Parts: sequence; C-alpha cells; structure tokens
Amino acid sequence: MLRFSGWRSLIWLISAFVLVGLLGACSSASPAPSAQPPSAPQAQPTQAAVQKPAQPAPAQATTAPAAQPTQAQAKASGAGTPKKGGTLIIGQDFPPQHFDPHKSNAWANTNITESIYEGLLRWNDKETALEPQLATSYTMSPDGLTYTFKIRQGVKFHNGRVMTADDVKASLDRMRDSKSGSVVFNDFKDVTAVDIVDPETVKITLGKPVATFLNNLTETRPIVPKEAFAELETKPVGTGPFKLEKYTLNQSVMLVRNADYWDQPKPYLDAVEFKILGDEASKEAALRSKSVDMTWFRDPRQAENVSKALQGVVSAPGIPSRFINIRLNMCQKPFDDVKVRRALSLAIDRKGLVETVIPSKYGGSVGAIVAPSDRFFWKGDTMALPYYKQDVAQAKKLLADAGYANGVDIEAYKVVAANQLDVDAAQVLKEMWNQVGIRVTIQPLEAAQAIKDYNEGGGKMAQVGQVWQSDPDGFLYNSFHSSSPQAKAFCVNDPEMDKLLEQGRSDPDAAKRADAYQKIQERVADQVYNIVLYGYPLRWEMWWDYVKGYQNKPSNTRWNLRQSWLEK
Amino acid sequence: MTSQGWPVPIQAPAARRATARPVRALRTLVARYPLLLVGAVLVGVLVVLAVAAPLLVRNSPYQIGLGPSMSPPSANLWFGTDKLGRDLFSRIVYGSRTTLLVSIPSVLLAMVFGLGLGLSAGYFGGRTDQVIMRLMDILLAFPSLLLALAIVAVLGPSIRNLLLTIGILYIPSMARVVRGPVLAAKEREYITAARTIGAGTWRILLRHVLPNILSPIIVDATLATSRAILVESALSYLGLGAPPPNPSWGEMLSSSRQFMTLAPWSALFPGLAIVYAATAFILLGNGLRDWLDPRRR
Amino acid sequence: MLRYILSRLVFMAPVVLGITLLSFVVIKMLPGDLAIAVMGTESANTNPAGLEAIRAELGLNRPLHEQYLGWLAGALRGDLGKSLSLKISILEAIKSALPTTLELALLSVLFGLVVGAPIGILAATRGGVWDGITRLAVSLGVGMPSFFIATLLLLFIAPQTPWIPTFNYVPLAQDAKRNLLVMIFPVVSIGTGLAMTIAENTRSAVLDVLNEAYVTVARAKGLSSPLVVWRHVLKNAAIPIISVLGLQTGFLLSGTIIIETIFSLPGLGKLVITGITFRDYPLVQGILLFTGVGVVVVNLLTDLLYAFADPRIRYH
Repeated sequence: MLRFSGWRSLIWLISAFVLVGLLGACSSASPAPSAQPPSAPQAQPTQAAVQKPAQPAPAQATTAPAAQPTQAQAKASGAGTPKKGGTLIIGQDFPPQHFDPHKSNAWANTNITESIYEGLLRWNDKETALEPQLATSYTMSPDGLTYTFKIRQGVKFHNGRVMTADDVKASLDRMRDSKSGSVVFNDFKDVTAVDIVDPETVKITLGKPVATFLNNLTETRPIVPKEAFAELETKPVGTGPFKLEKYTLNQSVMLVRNADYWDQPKPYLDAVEFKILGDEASKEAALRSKSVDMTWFRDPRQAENVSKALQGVVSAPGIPSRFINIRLNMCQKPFDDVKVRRALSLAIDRKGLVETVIPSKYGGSVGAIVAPSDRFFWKGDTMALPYYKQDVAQAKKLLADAGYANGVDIEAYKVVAANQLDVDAAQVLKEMWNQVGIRVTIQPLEAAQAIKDYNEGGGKMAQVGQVWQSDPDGFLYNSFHSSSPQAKAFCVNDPEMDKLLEQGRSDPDAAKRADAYQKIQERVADQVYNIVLYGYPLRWEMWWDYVKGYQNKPSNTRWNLRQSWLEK
Repeated sequence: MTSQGWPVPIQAPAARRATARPVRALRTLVARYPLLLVGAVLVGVLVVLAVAAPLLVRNSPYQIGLGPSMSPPSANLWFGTDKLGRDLFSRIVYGSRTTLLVSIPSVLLAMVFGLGLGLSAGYFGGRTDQVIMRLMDILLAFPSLLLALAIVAVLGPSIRNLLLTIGILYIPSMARVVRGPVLAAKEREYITAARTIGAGTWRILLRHVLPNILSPIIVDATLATSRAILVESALSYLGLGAPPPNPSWGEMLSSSRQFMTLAPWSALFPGLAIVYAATAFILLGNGLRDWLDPRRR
Repeated sequence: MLRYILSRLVFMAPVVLGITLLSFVVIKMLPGDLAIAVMGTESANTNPAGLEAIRAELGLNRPLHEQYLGWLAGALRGDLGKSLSLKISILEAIKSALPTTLELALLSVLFGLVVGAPIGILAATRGGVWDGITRLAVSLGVGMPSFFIATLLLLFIAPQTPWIPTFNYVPLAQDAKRNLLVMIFPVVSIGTGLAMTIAENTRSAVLDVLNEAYVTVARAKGLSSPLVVWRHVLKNAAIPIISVLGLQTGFLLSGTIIIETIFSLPGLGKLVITGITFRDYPLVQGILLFTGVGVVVVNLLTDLLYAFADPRIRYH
C-alpha cells in the first residue's frame, strides 16, 4: 500500500513549513487598512461637554469621520422635511422577555416598549425636566401631597378604544399593587389613593411628600387599557406611536406605525424592526453591511473605530451615564473592618484605572456613588473624596492595623462576565490590590447572578454597573438606608446616612436635597460602603445618515424613533 | 471520533524492530511516519513553551500597561498588546500552561475511568455491559458543550473544575473506544485459549486484552487531548473558562473579537494558538496511529 | 436482527429516564433562585410575601421528587411548561427554534459530506502527495474551532461579499434563497471541521476496504481503479462513514450553540443561551431533555447500522 519513502517525508516537512509560513503571512498581512496606532491621541472635540458631568450634557451626534465638529451636523441630520414610509432596522443585543411594561425594568424590554407605551409625563430632550404627555397639565398641592392631572382627550389605544380617566386609575393601581406582579410598586409605596375627579381629571394622593414622585410617571410606567392587562406580556396595547406587529422568537421584534397616533403626523416610519443580534462583533458586522440601520456599542474603542471606518455613519458617543461600583459585604470578615475597606480604596490608582479601562478621552472619569451625568453628582474634583488618592504605604499600614499584616485573601470577587469592560476593570484592580497584599480571585458570573449577589450580599464583593436614573434617590435609599433589605443584607447601619437619605428623599428644597446628596457621596467614600470606580458613557449610538430626525438621549432610550424618517 | 474499534489492532511491528539499533531505527521511524515527527515536534514545542514559559518571555503576562492599549506587534512586543496593554506574546505563551493544565489531566481522567468502564463493559458483556453503556449513553446524549456549560455553571469556573468537567465529558467516548476492541478481541483464539486453560478474569484483562487495545487508546487519548483543547477554548470563549486574569486563549479570542478590525492581531494570535495546539495533537495522534496501528490509517 | 432492535429499544427506556433525571438534577443545581428570577430582584427584596407566593405557584416549595415527577408527567403529555422569560409554552419555543437548528445541522452535514468525502477518497486512492496534503489539511481543519472560522469569515470574507445578507435570517419557507445565503457562513463554520472528520474517516474506511481480499481480487480481474472504488469500496466504506456522522450529532449541536449566537440564528442553541442568560430554568431543562432524547434516537440508529455491519456485536 502507501509507503512513505525519503522524498515523501521531505515533501511532508516542506508542506508543513509552507503551511506555517502561510499562516504567518496571513497574520502579518491582515492588520492592514483600518489599524491605527491607538497611541496616537485622537482629537475628540465632541467630548468637551461630556467632561463637565455636573449637568446632563446635551446628547450629541457627529458624522463620521469623527474629526469634524459636530453640533451643526447633528442638527443637520435632524433638518429637512420628514418623509413618510420605510422600515428602520435596529440592532438589538438581547431579546425582550415580554411586553408587559409594569412587570419589567429590563432594558431589553423597555428599549422596545417605550415606543409602544406612553406615560402621563415625559422627559424633555435633554432629560432635565418633565413635560406633559398623556396628561395635558398637572398641578401639585403646596404641601406636596396631592397631584392633579388633566388627561389628554381623544387618545386611542392600539385596540381602537379611547383612553379614559378610568384607564389611568386602573394602570396606576396596578403598578402600585405588588400582587399584580408589578415590579415598580415600590416607587408608588407612598401613594395612598388614586381618585377620578371627573372624566378628564385624576388625583393622586401621597402619604408624605416625595420630591421625586413625578419621575415615576413617564413611559416606563405607562397607561394601558384595563381590558388588556391579562395578556400584556404577549399582546401589548398602548397609546404609543408604534404597535407590536410580530415578535419572532430570538429573531426580531416588528413594530408598525400606529395610524391613530394622537400626535400626528408622527410617527413617520411605517415600521421599526428590532433585530436581535448576539454580541458586539455581530452588531458591528451588521451595521457595516447595512443589515441594520442603527445600533449601539459598549466599548468606545470599537465604536470610534467603526465610526472612523464607515463614511456616512452618524456617531453619538453619549454621556457618562453609568458608573461601576463594588459593593462590599460588611457582615463578613474582613470587610466588617473599615480599615480594610479603606485600605482597599487607598490601593487603587483611580486615574490609572480610568485611563486603562475607559480613557478620559472617551468620557471615562473617576466616579462617585451618583452617576456623573446626574445633577446631584459630586461638585468638586472627585479625587478630593476621602481615600480616593492612591497611597500604597498607608493601605498596607491600615491592613496591618486591622490584623492582616500578611495580606488577606478574598476568594470571590464577582463581576458580570458578559460585560467585558467590567471584567477589564476587575483585572486591573486585582493587580493594584496585589501590591498591598490583598489577593482577590475574580469570579465572572452571568449578569443575573452577579446582580443578585450585588443586591443580596451573596459572597464578599460584587461589582455591578449602575445606570443613570432620573433621580439618585431610589438607588441610594435602597442601598444604604438601614430600613432597606439590601442595606440589611450588607450590614449598613448608619444613622447619619439614614438622616441624609431621608433629607434627600423628601426635602422640597432642591438646594437642601443637593446638599444631602453631596454629603452622601462623601460619606460613602469615607466609610467605603461601596468602592466606586469610574463613570462612563454606557452606550455609543450609531446610525446611517439616511436615518433623519433621530437624536440620541442621555439615558439612551430610543424615544426619538417617533420623529425619525428615512431618506434612502 | 475516529477509531471506534471495528478492526482489531495488532502488535506494532516497528516497535519490535526499534530495540535493535536505536538511532537507525529512529531514523527509519521518522522516514516512514513523517506525521509522527511533525506532530511530536509541534507538541514538543508546546510543552517546552508551557514548562519554560518564565524563561521565554520578557514580560509578565499579568502586568498591565506595558504598552499602549492594543498596540501592534513590534520588536519589543512581538504579538503587540491587548486592550489592557499587556504583552500578548507573554499571555499566549502562558496560555499554553492553562491549555495543557486543563486538557492533559482531563484526558488522563477520562482515560482512567473510560478504560475501567470500557474494559468491564466489553469483557463481561451482558448486564454489566448494558448498565455501563446505558450510563455512558445518558452522558453522551447531551451535546458536550451544553453539558459542560451546565456543569461549569454549577461548579464555578476554575482550572480544576474545567478539567473535571472536560474529563467527565470524555469518559463515555473513551469507554466506547475501549469497549469495541475488547468485544472483538474477546472473540480471538488466544483469549478463548487463555480462558480454557483457566486464566482468571483480571489476568486475562491485563495480560491479554489490555496490551492489544493499548494502541487505539493511546491514539485516541492523543486525539482526545486536541478535542479537550477545543472544548476548553470554547468554554473560555463563552466566558466559562479559567477566570481572568488567567491567560486563556479562548477568552483572549472572544474578548478581542470585537476589535478584529481595530487590532486584528489580538484575536488572530490566540485563535492561531488554539489551532496550533489542537492540530499538533491531531498530527501526533495520527502519526501514532500510523505507527502503532498500521491498519487504521 | 429484529430481536436486537427490540432489545435496543427496551434498553433505550432507562437511558431516556436517565436523561430526564440528569436534565432535572443539573438544572436544579444551577445557581440562582427561580422565584427571584421571575419576580425581579428588586421586588423580591421588598416583597418577601410575594416571593413566597411565586415559589408556591411554581411548586418550588414541594419536595424535589414531587417536582421531578410532576415535570416528568407533564413532559410525557408533551407539556414542558411555560417559559419564564419568553412567556410562551416551552414546546412552542422549541418548535419554533428547531427548524433553524435542523437546517443548520443538515446543511453542515451535507457540506461535510460534499467536501469531506471526495477529499478522503482522493487521499486514499491517489496516495502520495495528495495523501500528505490532505492529512495536513484535515488535521488543521479539525483543529480549527468553529468560532475562529466564524470570526475569520465575518471580518475578512463578509466585507468582500455584500451579497450575503449575514444577519438577515428569514425562515426557509418564507424566502428560500435568502435563507440559504444567510446560512453560508454558519454552515462553513460548523461544516469545515465536520468535513475534515469525514474526510479522515472516509480515507481510513476506503483504505481498509482497499486492503480487503475482494478488492484485490477485483483488481486482479482487471477492473479499473475508479470502477473498483465506486463498485466495491464506497459501498463498504459508507457504513463506517455514516456511523461517524451519527457520533457527530452531539458535536453538531454543540457547534450550533456558539455559531447560532454569533450569527444570530434563532435556533435551539440561541434559545439555550437565552435560557441561561435569563435563568429560565424550565426552558433550559426542556431543551436539555429534547436534545438528549434526540441524540439518543440518532445513537440508536447508529448502533443499529453498526450492528448491521458487524454481526459479531449483536449477539452480545
């Protein structure tokens, strides 16, 4: 049969080398056109506003290539006469779980349902103030306990029925009833009654003043027809500009124009399709091939690269709406000792961390326990917060004082595996903590599990990103007020903190609220209840320039789909 | 999935000849079985990389910010840097440790259990065979990656758990590989003869059956190592491999996939490393088969 | 043979039972609380009574064996329960995902056969350089993970081939042409490794047959080589090749998990990842059970073929 003689083995060897050579050639030839030395600093004029995070910066958009400024073009992309028709395709990374807006907070759901449903109020474009939506106006009683809403007349639900004050009451009652399956009932826990004054008026009564109450009445807490309650998960019925046509499992969500929309001539698009794509690379490939008209990216390096490579893509970096923080379980050793926690904080070179993981030119910044884009964010230099400046010697000393002269091992430092930036940060921190003798083992988990541990104190440390919310009260109160289950799970019991949180929640005086939140941020840093790492823009949106009229919003909702049109 | 054990292997003729004049025999061996040479050299290089990693690289694979983020290959940083500015070459060289630490012990584990189960099943036949093989069927019924995902999710990702998981995954196929030849070997005259002259079960298994199925086992174990490497990389690609910052090729590939157009090297080199390691073991396995088991080429 | 088939069917029952048990146990061991997953962590924290109610509703406070039997009884009736994350029946979800995965798997097998078998035959019959190059290529192809092939395709080939609508999946029935175009990259990603495995096995099967006496006789009779290959060799080599395909079922399904995720194909693999991401245990359980039983059926067919080919085995 086949026997190999000498020359054959020679051929063998040669072919092996040729193959290896070919592979080598492939790998060295491929970095060709798009590769830019990342070291070269890229001019980012669009980020100027981003770096002043005290105020929510206006959403910005630039047309690729990115070197051009910007506001003018962003406006230009919004100028022109709206044209009706066409289907806009959006690259979405997670499938929606269901369409019942009262039963989910998940972004994968709200990202779609915010075009289907509407609330009594809505945020303005910069998301700095509330405006009427399904209510035409509202008044608040001087004591802050009664809100009266005038209901917009003639608004039709997708099922053809006209919305009434009854629906408003029924929806609000459903949301505040935990037995209904509502996930937002906690936001309404101070509501004592919802009354129909007349067919055009609804009155909401609170047990005590809640400064942030109105924030709970936007499209994520929408009005739905009561006859549709039971089947909202699969058959959404709202008043929004689009209605659900078809959800194909794990594939796409097709929304079509609501011809009866009350705010005519909007919407302009015939349909919006959310195409469900798995990951960042798929989203990039889909945008490049125009399989999708619009998508967003997590990592600004990738986003910047895409926006540079693609002529005709509008690129909107977003504002620093997310901050990463690590929650320490103080019921357990060694974090029961504030010295250890402070050592942990002191060991971090925060600026170095930011520059490595999410450089400041992309909007990364040293964070505090409130999102950088929040109006209550730390007013001064965040590096001035206690225990923020790196001091390895002091960290070692504190550790030794706490009885851990030989260092300490922490076995499970839990991070969200799916979020590469989070894992990156954890790896950088691990090396920094190594220097002072704190040896951590990183444990990447699926998101749901990491969030669960973050909320319930499973394990010793869990790192999760917090997304900007319209008001810091909910997150801070739940995290640190000694009465909240989360604070109990982490053994936070700080009367000083409680006082500040209550002041922040109910003081009608905005200046006093602001003051309380300043002190809270300082206190969290001082006691190191959480280690806040950095804030950064969560999503960098991108769309082809034939999509007109669209603008990204600070919270990265896709509200503006209703005013978008296509000029292909 | 190759030698499912239909034909029965025989003693390797080359092995017998090899005792006479080692050097010449080796040369003959290499000339006749070039795959063996290529495979052995490639695997050898891999093992040397893993063992001598600290001597071979200039930089620590963990040190962050050695160069700018995602800088291209250069004279100092041969494979460039990853997103955190770590030396990619160091990480890939150290990655061979992760890979081999998972794949080789897991295959040994699978081999030990698979051998025991396969031998018992094949030799005793009947109910023993049925019970063992049905158990194996249950394990085999699940797509390996699906089962691995579930097990690793339960145990938590770590090198030890990975090798346990992959080991468990390969027990059934190893048992099958062993069982087939045992079933067939049992029918051979010499076994029947041994049985008639009253040799004990274990004696027959160890002295007569085992040597005859050793070749396919060695071949299969080598090939299984390559599959273990691929499963390990798939798991770490899905984020269930050795936890970061452990250098793991699958994780390096998946975390830099989104930067393929920005920094192709950061995805290509780990990908090529996986291909290299898996292929090396496949070539070695095929070469071993050529040599030990000439009928099964 | 009939008796063998019957006995195999009888022995399949405990395997299927084992599969149900394993699917149940593995999922029960997964971390995370089902009731909290249903409710959302925030509400669960603030509403322990509601949490208990959901636990009761899902039967989580019943003893494990009761939960198992209840689930099993449902499965026997074809009722796998309702998906927690997708709010539809699990059977419905599997039904809607199955065609995609089946299509992907079958096309990959087809690709594997069309590409792999000729390579294997060529290598076995031509020998020499062909054989050498083939074997190197085969080793490389088998050693190349599907996700790396997919990555290379997406980033280097896809930009050159705008006529392939990569992420625009449509069901086959709706638009066959587009569907098949969309399938090109996924099929190549999964099929390459498969093709090389098939090539390797074809090669050795053909070599085995070529060594058999009857082939030598046929050659001695003066039959030309190609004719020998077609008439005698392939017929006899086909069975081991098919049995290898049977053993690749698990491999194929494993491949679809990653590849469906990468290419956004709405198949079983994507469904599993969705289930794991959302901690939708009943869904993952249902898929485990479904694929487990599916693979067992394929294995059974393989074994039967195998026994058919080698009569010595079926008598033991």
